[in-house]
Amino acid sequence: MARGQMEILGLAIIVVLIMLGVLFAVMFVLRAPASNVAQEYKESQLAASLITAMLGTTTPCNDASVTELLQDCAVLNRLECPAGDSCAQAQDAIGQMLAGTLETWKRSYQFSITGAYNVEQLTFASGDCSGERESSTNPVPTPGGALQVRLDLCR
Amino acid sequence: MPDPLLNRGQVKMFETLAVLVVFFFFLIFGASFYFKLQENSLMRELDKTGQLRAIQVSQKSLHLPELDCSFVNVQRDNCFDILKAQKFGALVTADENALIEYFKTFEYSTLTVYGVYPVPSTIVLYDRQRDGSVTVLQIPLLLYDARQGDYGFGYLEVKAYG
Repeated sequence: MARGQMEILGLAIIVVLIMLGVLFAVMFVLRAPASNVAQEYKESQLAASLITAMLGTTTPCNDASVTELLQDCAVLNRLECPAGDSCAQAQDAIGQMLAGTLETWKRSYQFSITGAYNVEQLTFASGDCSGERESSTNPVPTPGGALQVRLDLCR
Repeated sequence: MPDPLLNRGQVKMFETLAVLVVFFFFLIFGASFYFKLQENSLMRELDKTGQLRAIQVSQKSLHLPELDCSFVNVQRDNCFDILKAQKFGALVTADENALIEYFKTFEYSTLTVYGVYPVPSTIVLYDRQRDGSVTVLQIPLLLYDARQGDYGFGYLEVKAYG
């Protein structure tokens, strides 16, 4: 093969390689995941606002809020409620609220309370929670120490 | 016998043509990639703008005096007065002027309050739809009932149309 032909072949190979490189770069740019501002906002706000709203909700048990039910359940457990005692009423209320929101939206979550034996029985979970999660914790003061109400939203 | 000068001229012309064809091929190839990238970037920007608008609409509605729970001018976070919400929904549905007035605030969106506990309920606050992409946001809320003085639990669903 003549020297001129070899040079042209070399140039052609370089051009093809550059084009392949550009093609790959373009493919990566086009396939990069779109920024999901609303999703990020929702994730960061949802867990915190869900716990705050749940704890402030009034229940049919002597017009006590969920916070007051948890306080009674953790220490005295003496309230008489339509669902039984304060623990049963809190279980019923929290269960309904989670079913009407996170479970309706098909979101995986784990809800738990720590700080007293009675309230630690109130746990709720749905879906797979093995991956990344967004957590929020709210303290509920009681005479026996603060309860920690925790909600993990799983991705 | 063919003229050798004419043949050489033809070859030169073909060469020039071939170079032009290759040049335009690269030009069109490059331009199509460039425009595809631009289109993609524009679509992302539009999508992001739509999402930001949904957040903006949800924030506006959460702090709207027509809907909030305020006690001695102190506003409670993430709380709607259920009576205000019912009246607001009825007004915007019935009165074209009110819909036009609130269009400045909510633009093309649908705002619905869903009561979850103790009694499931639905109140459509505002509804102005259009074709295109939809961004949906849900925000948990307290629903204050001034008649009983108690708080229900629900959420605000914002659908912002792009």
